[in-house]
Amino acid sequence: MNLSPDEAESALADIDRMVARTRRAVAAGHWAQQLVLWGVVWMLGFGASQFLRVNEGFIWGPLSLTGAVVSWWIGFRDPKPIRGAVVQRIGLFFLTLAGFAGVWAVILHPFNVQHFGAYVATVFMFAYVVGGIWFGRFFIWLGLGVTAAAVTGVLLLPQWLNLWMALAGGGSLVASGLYIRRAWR
Amino acid sequence: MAELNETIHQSTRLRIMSSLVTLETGEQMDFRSLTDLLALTDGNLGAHLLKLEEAGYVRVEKSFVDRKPRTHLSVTAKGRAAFEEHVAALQAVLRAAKPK
Repeated sequence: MNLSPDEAESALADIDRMVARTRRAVAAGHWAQQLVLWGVVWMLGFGASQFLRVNEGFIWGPLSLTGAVVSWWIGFRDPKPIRGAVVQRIGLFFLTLAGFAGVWAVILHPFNVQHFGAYVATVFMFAYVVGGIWFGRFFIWLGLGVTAAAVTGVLLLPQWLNLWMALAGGGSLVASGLYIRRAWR
Repeated sequence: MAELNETIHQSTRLRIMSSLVTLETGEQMDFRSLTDLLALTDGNLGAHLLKLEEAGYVRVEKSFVDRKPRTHLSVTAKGRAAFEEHVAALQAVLRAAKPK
């Protein structure tokens, strides 16, 4: 079989395009619903923390547990475009991360509850930045953007931090999930 | 020296293999998702998958989920090696054409 250099170059470009499209489709299949789910959890959790006069643990405990159960169901149910060990590994990674954040809740207690909320948010956004190494720059920018929003809120909007995190953080996750669901398939 | 692979080089099969090798070892892609990704009809994709399966490059697994038939696809170790050799051969064609 003989190919011209132009044919070889064209074939390699086709391969690169297909690999990129597949990675984005995989990401859309796994991540779109997860982003929307946790964006809604953040919007409800941070929003309730801003306006309700209750211990934030009573808000975030049930919300986080509900989110984790729904997240597990999304990750493990069929049908989905890809099945295999990576889905379980991603889920276990986030579970481990939640445990890490939880350990520091115990160590740092008592703490500024609002700052801790922003801290937990940035821990998960760090995971998105790391995940972006495999799944694409979009997740790196999402992680960095929400982290920047959290830091901005802590420094400039202390009295409205929870509302800011609900809108800027939760809203960003929801918008991102809807975007990749629509644009990446 | 790496050799070009005629079975893989056909444009649709090249796209199929490019997509499936993107998955990690042990991962499988749903048949429906691959037809959507490649914008192919079921019959067209099925025909090309048959050729790749006969060559030992792709594994096709049929199962039932909630009583509905599902087909999952993955690249075999032989297929992954053949694809990598084909890519190396394509790159060699380009290198050979570069002025010295």
